[in-house]
Amino acid sequence: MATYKGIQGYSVQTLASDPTPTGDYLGQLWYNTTSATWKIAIEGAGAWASAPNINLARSEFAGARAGTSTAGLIFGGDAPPSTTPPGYCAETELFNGTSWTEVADMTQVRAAQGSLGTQTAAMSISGNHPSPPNPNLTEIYNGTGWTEVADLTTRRTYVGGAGTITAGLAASGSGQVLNEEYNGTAWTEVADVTTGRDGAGSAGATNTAALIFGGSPPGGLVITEEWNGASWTEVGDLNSGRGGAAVSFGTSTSAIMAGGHTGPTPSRSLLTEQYNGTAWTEVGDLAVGMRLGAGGGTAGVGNGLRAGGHPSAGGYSNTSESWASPVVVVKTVTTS
Amino acid sequence: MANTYCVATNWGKDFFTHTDRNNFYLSGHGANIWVVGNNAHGISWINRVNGTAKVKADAQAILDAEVEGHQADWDDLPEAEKAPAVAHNLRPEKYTLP
Repeated sequence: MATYKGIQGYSVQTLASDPTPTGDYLGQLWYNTTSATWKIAIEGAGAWASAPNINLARSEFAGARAGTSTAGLIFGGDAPPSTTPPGYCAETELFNGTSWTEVADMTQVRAAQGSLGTQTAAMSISGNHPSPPNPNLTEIYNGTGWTEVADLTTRRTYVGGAGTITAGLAASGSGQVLNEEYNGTAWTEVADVTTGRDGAGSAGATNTAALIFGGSPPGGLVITEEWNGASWTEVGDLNSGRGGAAVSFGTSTSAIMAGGHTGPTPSRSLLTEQYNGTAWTEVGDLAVGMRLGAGGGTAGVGNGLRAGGHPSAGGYSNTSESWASPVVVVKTVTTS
Repeated sequence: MANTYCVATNWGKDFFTHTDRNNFYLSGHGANIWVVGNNAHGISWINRVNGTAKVKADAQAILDAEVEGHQADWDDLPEAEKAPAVAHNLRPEKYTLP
């Protein structure tokens, strides 16, 4: 009988143990002599892993969208009735890759705000505030403390934030189509988004290249719009319409949206989708269905962080998860 | 049986890893209920996190009790916080574990 090598001119390699999967092994097949199984290296779906718990469980808060899985910042939000004081809070927590540490509070308690920036240069935009009423408030964190800067022109909740503290964007929110740019000094109204929404996901490295996606009204929108600094264009839809994401981050050509509510019921989604500049693809699920959390990260070949939120059973979460983009994994080949 | 069930407390980092997530199905629910893919990796994970195994009916009952508690908390909220009903603050509902 002819051998495989006799036909092909080479043999399938045999290994005593599986190699550490890296990009070099992608698509390779081998026979594991120890387990007597065929193995293949394929690209995994990307995955969320558990990360250290935050100190104050909360929801409806905000985070540094351009953070990483080892450099996160979260701030404000709605804390459980059991906390002192309950309700809207000003607490800010910093993640250094090992643990969450409380740092300087925001100047005012606030929830349902928009956000952008990094761990050392973040912005909190408008949102809900109990009293005294200054709902348009914008604050900047510089790595040490918070400073109030120019107010957003029109108060909104769950604004889609993108860009930096010197070149920011605040798109939609409160179901409105309004879109404002920040130049480091003042907010200016620019071209409206096509579809007004609340609780949309957003991504963007600058105020001239951003995305807004999903959001309410109830039922969960799938619509994604891309901003080029002058106008909004509708691009590929999300596969699953959702609002109030557990977290969203990335750029206008590479974004992540995870979790959220999928309809008018208080359902929480596990779904994570990744945008490649053209279309959304479902990648690895969150471990816990979650909505109205916060975090940040980099999409594509990147990483990120999700913290807090409202989990599926109700209540407030203090958990966090770290995202790793699709990597090479080893799978056993089913034989018959 | 595609899934198995346990109660385990999430301690944070490394409670479940990226490798775990690629090796078996895992979803977390209220009252520390975890739904775990029923394969060797999943069973090994339950042992690693000192999970207490539950049959599905028992896991569902524990979750239902948790949801009922959150429903009671929601019912106790001032009426102004419950109406108008918006997607951001709806009364928790029971759901079926996968």
